[in-house]
Amino acid sequence: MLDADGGQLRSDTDAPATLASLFLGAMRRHDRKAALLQRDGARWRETPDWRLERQVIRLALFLKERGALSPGGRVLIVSRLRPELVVAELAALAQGAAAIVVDPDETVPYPASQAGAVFVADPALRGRIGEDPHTLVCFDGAIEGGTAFTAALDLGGTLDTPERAQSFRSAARAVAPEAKALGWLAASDRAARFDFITQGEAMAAVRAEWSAAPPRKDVVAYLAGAATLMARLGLLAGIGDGRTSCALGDPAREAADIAELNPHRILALFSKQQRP
Amino acid sequence: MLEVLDAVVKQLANLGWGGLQAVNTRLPETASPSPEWAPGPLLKSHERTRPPLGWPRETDSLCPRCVVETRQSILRGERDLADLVDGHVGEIKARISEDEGRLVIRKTCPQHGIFEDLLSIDPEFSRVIESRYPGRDFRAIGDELIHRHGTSTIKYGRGAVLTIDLTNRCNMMCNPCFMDANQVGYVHELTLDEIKQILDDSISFKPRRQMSVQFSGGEPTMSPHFLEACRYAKEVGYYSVQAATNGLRFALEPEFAFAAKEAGFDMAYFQFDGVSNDANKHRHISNLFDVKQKAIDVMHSAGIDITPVTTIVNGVNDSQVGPLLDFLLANSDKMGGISFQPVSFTGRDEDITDEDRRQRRYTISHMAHEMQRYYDGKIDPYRDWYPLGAMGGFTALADHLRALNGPDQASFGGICCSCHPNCGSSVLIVSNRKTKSWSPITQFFDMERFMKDIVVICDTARGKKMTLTQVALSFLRNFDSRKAPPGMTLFEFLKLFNGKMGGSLMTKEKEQDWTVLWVGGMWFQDLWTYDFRRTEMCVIPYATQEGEISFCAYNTGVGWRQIVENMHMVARTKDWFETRGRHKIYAGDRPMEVPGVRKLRVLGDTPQPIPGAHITAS
Repeated sequence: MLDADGGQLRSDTDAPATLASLFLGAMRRHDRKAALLQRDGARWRETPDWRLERQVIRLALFLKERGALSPGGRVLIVSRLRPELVVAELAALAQGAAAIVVDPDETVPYPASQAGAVFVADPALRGRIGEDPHTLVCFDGAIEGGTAFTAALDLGGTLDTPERAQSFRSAARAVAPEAKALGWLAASDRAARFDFITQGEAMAAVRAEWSAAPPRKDVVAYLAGAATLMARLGLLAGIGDGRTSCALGDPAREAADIAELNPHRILALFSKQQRP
Repeated sequence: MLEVLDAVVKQLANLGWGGLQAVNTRLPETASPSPEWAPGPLLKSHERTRPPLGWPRETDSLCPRCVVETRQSILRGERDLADLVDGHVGEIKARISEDEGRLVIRKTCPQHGIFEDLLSIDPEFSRVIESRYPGRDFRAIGDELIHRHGTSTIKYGRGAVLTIDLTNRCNMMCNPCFMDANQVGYVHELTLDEIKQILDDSISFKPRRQMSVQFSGGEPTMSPHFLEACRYAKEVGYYSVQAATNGLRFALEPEFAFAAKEAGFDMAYFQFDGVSNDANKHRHISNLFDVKQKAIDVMHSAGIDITPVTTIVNGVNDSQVGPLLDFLLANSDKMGGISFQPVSFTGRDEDITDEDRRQRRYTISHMAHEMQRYYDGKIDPYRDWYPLGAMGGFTALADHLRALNGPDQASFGGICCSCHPNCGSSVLIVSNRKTKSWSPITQFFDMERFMKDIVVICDTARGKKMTLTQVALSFLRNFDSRKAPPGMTLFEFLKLFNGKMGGSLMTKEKEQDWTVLWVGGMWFQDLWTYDFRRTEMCVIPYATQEGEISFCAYNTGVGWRQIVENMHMVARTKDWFETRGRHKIYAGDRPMEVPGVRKLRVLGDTPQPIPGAHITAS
């Protein structure tokens, strides 16, 4: 498999030091049909690695161009587990920004002003964001004062030239292990406060996950419900190992999903979730 | 001893063949099978029609001046598009004849006078090529909404390569560029829904075609939908997904090549003008050959097949024909063939002066003789060259065999290149990837007799066992091991042949040491050489929002490209750049920064063009 630096063969299989490098590596070296599976009516829609990588690059380019995404910045995502959340989180992490995920049911006002870009799952959440964020993107269609996720990817697609894509990868390689990575709402006492773990700490958790359950080809991991820290780490470990297909299920039909998919591992269940 | 054995085997094969033909002539022909994908029973040779061939002959052509004037007035809104479809705009008669040892086309426009151009420097070569044409393919049915372009409408054949322009944006600024990329002032770029619709439409009628799809442009990899288009084309059943690309994207972003391969991209139809930076300088990137080598390396690593394609202009890069073929032979592990395209004066080149046009005109006959000269007769113009349409004979055999498979028969007809014999010709070469030994197939295999045998096999339409027995006997009697390159045995050759026929004869094996290289000449028409008999048999249609249009009618001839792009432009270029960001264009004779360039094999490190080696008509 090619190394992003210049097309040379790469033999080391050591886990990288950051989530950003983990993502780059998995996109170069993988052995699975799909990185993500998503319930789509009666079938499971597949997101192969090439599509996931392109969506992440394109969203990152959109955020860089329109959302002033930069290393050390913050991206707020108000959503449960779904493919768009994965793309948004990876776009932020790969560029050295922290991704804060908040559950849509959270009653604390979302401090949008603390983030360079805000993603919301649906337009109904617009009224709960408070002040106008710099960049607002909605996963489910158009939103007042913001951009639909598909439109963001569309513009990112035009921006997706080889030079910009490589600059995305260069930025990802430059992300430091000390950079804040995964954030969550730590208090709900009407004074929102975020806690973070760094890229390096997250990688330690990923390695621990791999030790507990060594990655194997064609493993399907199932997740549904809230994007808790544990769920997000499990998801990143699965995507990052290049072998696991992560199925993002429908909280309303977990039992049916599991019966149908017969997953090898269950990383998060809506019915049993706890806050981090 | 081996020679004696070979002679005995051939003798026995001839006897066996003769015996079976004695039976064949006594039995009536069996009705041809009628597979689901076809509009009727598979065609027997006597049911195939042929265009008028030979010379002198009269055909329908265009006045180079009237057409341009009409096109401009339509674009200005002064005339209606219907004039182009139904009005026979600029159509005049042309006469093709031999004149002082050359083949020429002459025509007279009542308004603009006489036009003359060269078709061949060797009428005997052209006669041989035309004599090897096996006849047209099916007429399509149910295609009224796809083929609806007046006298430019495609009438015959199932097509071989469906071309779809994804975008007219490009990251280079070549001169000439047949579609004036970056310079027309507007952006024409298909949405993913439009691409899907076009791909669906093209397999909606009979014959249901096992086509290759070739994404083009502009630079197709600049379309944001390139990867998704590759995936969709594969999903709906296209045989091979190709792109006419300059390769810059792959050199600059190797990861993109791997992603493309995963998405379904099979083959790069790879712009490649010569084996030195100097031979590529007209593309205005000073280290373009280095960049191309990187692109080849990357695409090969990703498992993408590569066919270099070179436009040949007399007096400009015609001396590169031999060195380019050397490059192909030296790198036959990475590339499957090469496509030479004698220049077609289109786009900005429609304004060329008569004198310049005469000097730069290059034909397939030039190419055949240049290869003969360069390889000291090893490639023979009269023995080794066949019209592209001759490959239709192999398709007929493959279709016939698949149709005998009963319920397992194919849902698509095989790829059938049945274009007019004046459109293109090719040589097939066997090459050993390790030893680098090579020869034209026709050096050791009697292709002419084999093609005749295939006609007999398909026309008599016997059962599967009898058909396969006849194919085997024909193989044996036409293969001459004494003339084959060292190591090329009958069985090796049979495996290669079977592979190229999609595994119709036996289980398909991955190619090992030996491979077949296709060396083609594809001569697109321009306003001076235009012949409607060629247009109506086009096998590389452009699929657009306005249906499928013959390659030459789209890019030259009437010039449908400008009409379609104007009708469906999505933005002015200036506005596009403002709202969607600029893309980088490599031009200005500056070098590109591409890391990790590795020199590929070239015959001699710095091949030198031989002064005065190009062949001229005079």
